[in-house]
Amino acid sequence: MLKLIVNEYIKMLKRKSTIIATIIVVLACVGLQLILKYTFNNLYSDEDYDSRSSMTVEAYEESIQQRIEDGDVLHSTKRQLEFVQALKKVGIKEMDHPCVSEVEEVILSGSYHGMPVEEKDVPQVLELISYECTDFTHFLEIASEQSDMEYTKAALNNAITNPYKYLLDKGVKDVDDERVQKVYDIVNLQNQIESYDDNSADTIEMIKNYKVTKYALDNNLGYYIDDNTSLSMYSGEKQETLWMVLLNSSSIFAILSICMLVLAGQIVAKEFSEGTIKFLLINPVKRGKIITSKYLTLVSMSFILMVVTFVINIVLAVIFNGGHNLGCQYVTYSLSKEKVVAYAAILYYAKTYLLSFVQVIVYETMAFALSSLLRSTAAAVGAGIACMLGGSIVTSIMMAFHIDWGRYLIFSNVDLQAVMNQTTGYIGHTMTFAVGVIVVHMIVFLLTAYDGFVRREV
Amino acid sequence: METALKIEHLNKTLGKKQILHDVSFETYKGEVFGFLGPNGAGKTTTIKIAVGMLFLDEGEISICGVDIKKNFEDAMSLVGGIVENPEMYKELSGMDNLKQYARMRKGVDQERIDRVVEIVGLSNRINDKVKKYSLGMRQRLGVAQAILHRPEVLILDEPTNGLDPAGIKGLRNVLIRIAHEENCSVIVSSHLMSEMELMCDRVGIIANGKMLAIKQIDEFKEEAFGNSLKYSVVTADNDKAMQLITSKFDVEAKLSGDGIKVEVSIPKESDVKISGINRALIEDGIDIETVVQEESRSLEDAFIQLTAQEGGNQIA
Repeated sequence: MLKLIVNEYIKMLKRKSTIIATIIVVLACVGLQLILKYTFNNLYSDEDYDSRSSMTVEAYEESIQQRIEDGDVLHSTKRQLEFVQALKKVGIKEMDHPCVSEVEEVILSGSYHGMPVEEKDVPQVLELISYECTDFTHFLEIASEQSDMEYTKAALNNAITNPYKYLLDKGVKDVDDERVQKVYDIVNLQNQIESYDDNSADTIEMIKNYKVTKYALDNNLGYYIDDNTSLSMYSGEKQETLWMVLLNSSSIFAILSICMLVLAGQIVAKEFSEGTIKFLLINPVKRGKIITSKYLTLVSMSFILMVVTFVINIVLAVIFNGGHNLGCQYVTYSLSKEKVVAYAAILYYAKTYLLSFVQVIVYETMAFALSSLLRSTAAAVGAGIACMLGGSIVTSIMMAFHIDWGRYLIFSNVDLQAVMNQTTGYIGHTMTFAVGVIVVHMIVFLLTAYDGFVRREV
Repeated sequence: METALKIEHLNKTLGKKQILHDVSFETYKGEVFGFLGPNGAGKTTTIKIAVGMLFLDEGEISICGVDIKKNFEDAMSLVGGIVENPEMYKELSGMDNLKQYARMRKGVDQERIDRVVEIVGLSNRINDKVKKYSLGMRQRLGVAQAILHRPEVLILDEPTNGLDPAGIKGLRNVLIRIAHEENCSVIVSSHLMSEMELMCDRVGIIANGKMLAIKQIDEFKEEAFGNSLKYSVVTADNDKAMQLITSKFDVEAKLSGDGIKVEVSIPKESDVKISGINRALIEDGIDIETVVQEESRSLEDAFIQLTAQEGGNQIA
């Protein structure tokens, strides 16, 4: 059997189409990485928000004064000036300080922790903020003294889980510490979970986020990735690009699928169209073995290409985006195990890669069956690509018309990554269901291929 | 003689048409067997069934006693062959093609491959890609592939197609040598009797899916030439000459070619000599222009006549 596979590899690798397909896959990999790099880099550079957050307070103040001198008489511009002066009063020097938004809320919307602040109370609130942002211990003291005020109550309520105390326990002194933002996130999530208090998908999602963020905080993870990394809005942090790029590079599988489809369409049909089948079958080898060796060659070839693209993706992504986060952790909350699971992000990437790879195997098996059945390379490749592209169009049309049995079609199930992330559009589309549909189809494809080859008269 | 390929009561229907009707024959080790028939007679179908490309509806086929249905791999390891055109992997060199086959068969090493390449006369071009080969070169490569694993039964479907005269002669000698010296059973299919005549020991004739005759090539010759000698006699007055010959001698004579000549056939055992007829004609005052001995009926004519009885020259 091994010798048969060697034979198939020699035949395949000597074919121009194989070499072209391999080059296309590699080029697609490089191209994809370049596109992603520039996409994310542009997002990074043209954010308006960004230009403000990278300024110092003084520079921002100057820019506003410049606008006024230039003849800007809008009321909002004047309020901006007021806001900047308040920032200076509180003692904030950089515009990306976490408490900037709190000051902005007080000055521009007249509220603090969601509660209205009267004009006369503004100086008092600003003082409170100045402590909130610098000295948590003092903030708690002052806030408890003023607990008769609505907004102070709200501030304390938000602090009820004592995030400030938590931070102090963790030895966080610097408000610039990224953990401060995480504590805010946790408090927000907790409040929302309590207020919804149901089992809707949104709540479950929030619980997952809460557990994951808390785990990361408790274990001082620093930068980590989770299930939202590939979907989340890009916040402009340079450190995020590496994993954003990697987790968004799954479109390589469409190209890999098409290339493997061409190879699969050829591997049996070409023997017939070239007439070499007669010289293959005259050998003392059963047809079952020949067709099996052809299939194994195909699967192993696509596996090799997958590993190659995987490595190219990582290497290029590291070269383009920097690799200091490559070794970070992936954190998720397992609903079934009811605990947080964390492992190396690169393993998580490999796992998602393998899940997406399943579609390549499914499509190439389909083309392999067509190749064996139709005995014409052009027909097999054409029908294979038509099925692959047409299938996804058909399923999305069925989805649009709410035809639920579309979920039984192979095309709705091949992207296991989408099934796992629940983004296929079918309600209750579970992994088990998708795997079941795929297995049934694979059996049909393989039996067709086997039967078409073994029982066919030449 | 040891039986090599044994085909018994083979029936085959493709689509609605029955291609083979109860075909049976045997070949022996050490002989070249000619499998002869016009286009569409069922030669290739029979060969394809024997090597497992088509499946048999009814009948039994064994190779050196091994049933091809029950023990396909063992039976096939005893067979080498070319079926229809010699199509090889075009992107590979001749050598790489042979290595492909060597990997699928037992007991073929590099030395054997080199030897086989030498036998078929491809040593100088064996490392060229097959797409640069002519039909004749591919045919040679096909033969090399077929004899690579020293088969007990060698089945070649029209192997002289595309070969030049020197190539045909070379192949003929190779096949005769393999059969007679290596004790292999060589089966060669063809629609050319003249080709068969030169290399076969025995010939089986098939037409419209039926085996018509299986005979030693000498028996065929005997039958074809018959027991009489034939002469064409051209005289100044053919009508008169014919009457004279039939009245005076116990031989057959008839006018042919719209009366331009008299065909005379003298039985071998007869005392009559053509010289006697000559003299009689001259004595009777009939001027003789030419007297030529006819190549009586050729084997080709015998073959055409035999197969014509089965549906004439229409493709069945």
